[in-house]
Amino acid sequence: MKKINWKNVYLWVMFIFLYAPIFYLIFYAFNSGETMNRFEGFSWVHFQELFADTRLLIILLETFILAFLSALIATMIGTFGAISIYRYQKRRTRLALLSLNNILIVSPDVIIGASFLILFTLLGSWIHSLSLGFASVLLSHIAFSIPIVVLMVLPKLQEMQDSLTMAAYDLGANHWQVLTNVVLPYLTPGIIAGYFMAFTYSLDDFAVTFFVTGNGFTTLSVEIYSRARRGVSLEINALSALVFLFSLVLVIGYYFISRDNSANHRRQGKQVRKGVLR
Amino acid sequence: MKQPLISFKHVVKSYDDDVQVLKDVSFDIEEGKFYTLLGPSGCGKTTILNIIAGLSDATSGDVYFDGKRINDVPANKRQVNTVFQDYALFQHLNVYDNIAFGLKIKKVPADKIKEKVTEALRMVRLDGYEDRAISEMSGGQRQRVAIARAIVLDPKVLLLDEPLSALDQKLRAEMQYELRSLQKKLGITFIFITHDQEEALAMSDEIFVLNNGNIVQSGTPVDIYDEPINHYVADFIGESNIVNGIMIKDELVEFAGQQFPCVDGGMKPNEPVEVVIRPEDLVLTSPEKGQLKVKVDTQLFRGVHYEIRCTDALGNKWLVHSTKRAIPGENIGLSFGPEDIHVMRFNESEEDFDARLDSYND
Amino acid sequence: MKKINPLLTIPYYLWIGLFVIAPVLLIVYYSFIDIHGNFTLSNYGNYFGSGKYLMMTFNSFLYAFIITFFTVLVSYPMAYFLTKLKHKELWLLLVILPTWVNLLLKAYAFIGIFGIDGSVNHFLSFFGIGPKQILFTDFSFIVVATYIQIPFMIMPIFNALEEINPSVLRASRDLGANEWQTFFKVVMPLSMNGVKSGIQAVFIPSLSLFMLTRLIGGNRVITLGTAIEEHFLVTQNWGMGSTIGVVLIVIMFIVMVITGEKRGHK
Repeated sequence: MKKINWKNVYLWVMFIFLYAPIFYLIFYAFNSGETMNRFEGFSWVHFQELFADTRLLIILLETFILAFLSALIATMIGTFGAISIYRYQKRRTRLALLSLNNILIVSPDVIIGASFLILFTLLGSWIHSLSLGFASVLLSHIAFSIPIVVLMVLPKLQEMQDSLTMAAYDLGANHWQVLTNVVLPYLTPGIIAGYFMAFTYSLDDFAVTFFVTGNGFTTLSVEIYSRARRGVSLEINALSALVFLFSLVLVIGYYFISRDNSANHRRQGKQVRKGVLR
Repeated sequence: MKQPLISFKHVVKSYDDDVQVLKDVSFDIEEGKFYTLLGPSGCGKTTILNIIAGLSDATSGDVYFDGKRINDVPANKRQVNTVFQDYALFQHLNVYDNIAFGLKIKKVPADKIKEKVTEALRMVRLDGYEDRAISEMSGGQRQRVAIARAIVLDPKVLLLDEPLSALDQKLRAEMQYELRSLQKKLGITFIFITHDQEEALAMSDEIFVLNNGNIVQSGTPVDIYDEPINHYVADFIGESNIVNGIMIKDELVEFAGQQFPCVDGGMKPNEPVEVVIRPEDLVLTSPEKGQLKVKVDTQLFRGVHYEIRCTDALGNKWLVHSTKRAIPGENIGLSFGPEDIHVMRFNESEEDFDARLDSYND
Repeated sequence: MKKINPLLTIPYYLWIGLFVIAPVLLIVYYSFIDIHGNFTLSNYGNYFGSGKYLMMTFNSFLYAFIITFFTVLVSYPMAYFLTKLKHKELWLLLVILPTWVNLLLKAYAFIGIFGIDGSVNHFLSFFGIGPKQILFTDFSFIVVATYIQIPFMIMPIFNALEEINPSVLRASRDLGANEWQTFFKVVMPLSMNGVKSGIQAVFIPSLSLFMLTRLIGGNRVITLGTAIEEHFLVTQNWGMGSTIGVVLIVIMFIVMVITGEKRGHK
C-alpha cells in the first residue's frame, strides 16, 4: 500500500481553503438564479446586469483612475524620498526618517482613516475647495502609498555601488545627468515594483476611503460594502469574476518583472534590514 | 626638471575631525610615466586617487594640475578618468553605450563617437563586442570595457584603483603586460593602486610606498627593492631578513655577533641600525666557508627555488632562497658579499635618506 | 550621489509633515476634546473608568489573540512544506494571489458560504445536523479573519525558512540529530523572526478590523476598530474615538517592541 503523503494532503487542503471562497463567488456568477445557495443553471445574465449597471461601471472606472493616479504620484514622491533618505550620512538620521516613513505602514487602517478625516475636515475649513470627496481620497491614497514605494526603492539604492555614480561623475556627467542617466535607470526595477504595490494598495483599500470619502465619491470597495450589507446580489459575483481575472493578469505581469531581477531579489530583502542599519 | 603634471602640496584628509586618512602628503607626478601607489588596505592610497579624480575633497593643502590649483574643480570637469576596482559598469547599458557614455555627455557628434568607441575597443582588444550586454562579459572582458570607457575620453591621467584584484592569477599576469603596453602606446600618465608588491615592481616607472596616510618612500622599483628606507618598506617589498646591528664606522657593520664589511656609510659611529639581507642573496655553502654558521630548521619546495629557514647561534632567523636543497637539522654556512648588506637607520626621513645615499654613491 | 535638486525632495518632506506627523498630533489632540469642543480629560476617564470600554478592549485583544494563534498554527506547517516544493516561488505566488482579490469580495463570499441557506449548512444537513446559525457568530468572524490573514503570516515565515543556510541543517544531521530534533532545535528557532514579523503583520490589523465585524460578525463582535469607526462616523464623538485610537497606537507600539522588527502590512 502506498504511504499517504501527509505533507501534500495538508498543502492541498490549505490551497483549497484559500481558493474555495474565490471560486465559490465566481461559480455563482454564472448562476441563472438570484442566490449563492442553489445553482439553478448556467447563465450570463449577471454579467449582462453588470454591464448595464452604469453606476457600478463608473465607480469601477473611477477606482482605476484613482489607483493609477495615486500610484503614479506616490511613486514620484517616494522615489525621490528614498534617494533623499539614502543620501544622509548619519545612520541615526536615516533611521529616524525611516521610522517616520514606516508609521503609515504599520498603523491600522482605522487610525489612518480617522486621523486623515480629522486632517481633511480641518483643512477643509480653511481651504473651501477641499471638501471630502475625490480630492481627499486621492490625497489619502497617495499618502499611504508613499512609504511602500520608499521601501521598494531603498534596497535598490543600497545595492548600487558608490563607484557607479563616481564613475559617471568621472566621465563628465553633472548631478542632473548622473540622476537621469545612471541612478534612475538603475532604480527602475524597484520603482516599477513600488508602483505595482502602490496600485494594489489603492485598489484594495477600504477602511481609509470609507472614512475620508464624502457623499459624492465612492470606490469599488466602499460600494461592495454597502451592497453586501443589503444582501447578496449576483452582480457582485460577476464583478468579482472579472476582478479575479484582472488580478491574475497583474500577478503574472509582476512575476515576470520581478523575475527579471530575481537574482538580486533574495539579497534585496536582506538589505532592506541590513542596509538601513548600516 | 620640467613642470609636474600633478602636484600635491601638504595635502591632509580627515573624516569627522579625528580620523586622519592622509597626513601631510606631498608629491609630484610627471607626464607620461607609470606610477604605482603601493600600500596595505587603509593606508590612504584610494583617498589620494579620489582626490586626484575630484571624487573626494582634501581637508587642507593644495592640489595642482598642469600648474593650476584644482581643489575646487568638480570631478566632471577634470581631465582625469578612473578605472574602478569593481569596474562600476552601467548594467542597463551595453558595451558600446558604456564606452560612449562620457562622449554623449560631452555632446560629441554621433559619427565621431562611433569612431572613438571603435578605436577604444580595438585598443583593449574587444573589437566586435559593441552590442554585448555587460552581464554577458567575463571578468577580464569587463575589466577591458572599464579601461576603454576611461581612455576613450583622452584623459591626461588614467587612474586605476586595484583593477586587477578581482582577476585570477593567470589573467592578472596577462593584464599586467597589457596595461604596461597600453600605457606606452597612449603615452599618458597612469596612476595605479595596488597592495600587491610584485605587481608594483613589475609594472611601474615609479613607486610610492604608503603607510598610515604617509608616503614612506618613493623611487624606481629597483631603488626601493635594493635600498628600502626602513623596516616597514623592507618587510613590505619582497621578502627580507632583518636583524638588529651596530654601525661600527663607515663600511663596517656588526650583526649576529660578527663584524662585516659593507658599502653603507654616513652614520654616527656605533649607531644602532637594522640590517637587511634579501633571501636570494644568501648562498648555501659549507660551515667552514660560510660567514654565518646556521642550522637548517625547515625547507619548502617553491618551484623556482627552495625556501629554507635557518637559525644562527644567537637565535636570529634566516630565510634563504636557493636552487640547491638543504637537509633539515644539518649545520651549514651562509655566504654573502658586502654589497648584499643593506643598512637602515631608525626613523630616517626620506630627504635625509636620499641625501646620505647621494653622498657616498657618487 | 552628492547633490539632488531640493525641489524634487520637498514633496516627500511635506508628506512626512502633513500626513505622518500632523495626523498623529491631531488624533492625540482630539483625544483631549469633548463632544462640545472643550479641553477635557473625561475621554480617558470614561475609557479607563467604565467597564464597558475595558471589556471591549479585552474582547478585542482576545479575538486578535485567537485569530493570530490560529493563523500561526495553520500557516507555519504550510510555509514549511512550501519550502520543500520544487517550484516553491510559484507556489508562494499562489498563496499571495488571494490577497490581490479585494478584501470586501472575500468577505462577501463568506456571506454566501455561511448563510443560513448556504453551502456549509447544506453540507451539515446532509449529515442530519440541521441548519445552524453560522453567519454573525464569533466562529464565523474568527474563521474569516484567519482566512484573510493566512497569506500575510505565510510570507514572512517562508522567507525566514528560506534564509536558513542548508549546510546548517546538514551540520545538525551530521552531529546526530534526527529529522524531528533538527526541526525543533534548529529550524524552529531560526525561523522565529519570521513568526514574529508575521504576528506583527496579523495581530495589529486583527485588533482593528471593523468591516468584518459588521459583515460577518454581525455587530455581535465589537473590536477597537469598530468602536473607533462608530465614534467617528456614527455618533460623531471624535474625542472619544481619538482616545480609543491613541490607546490602539500605544498597544501597537507595545506589540512592535515585543515582536522586535518594525515590519508589517497594511
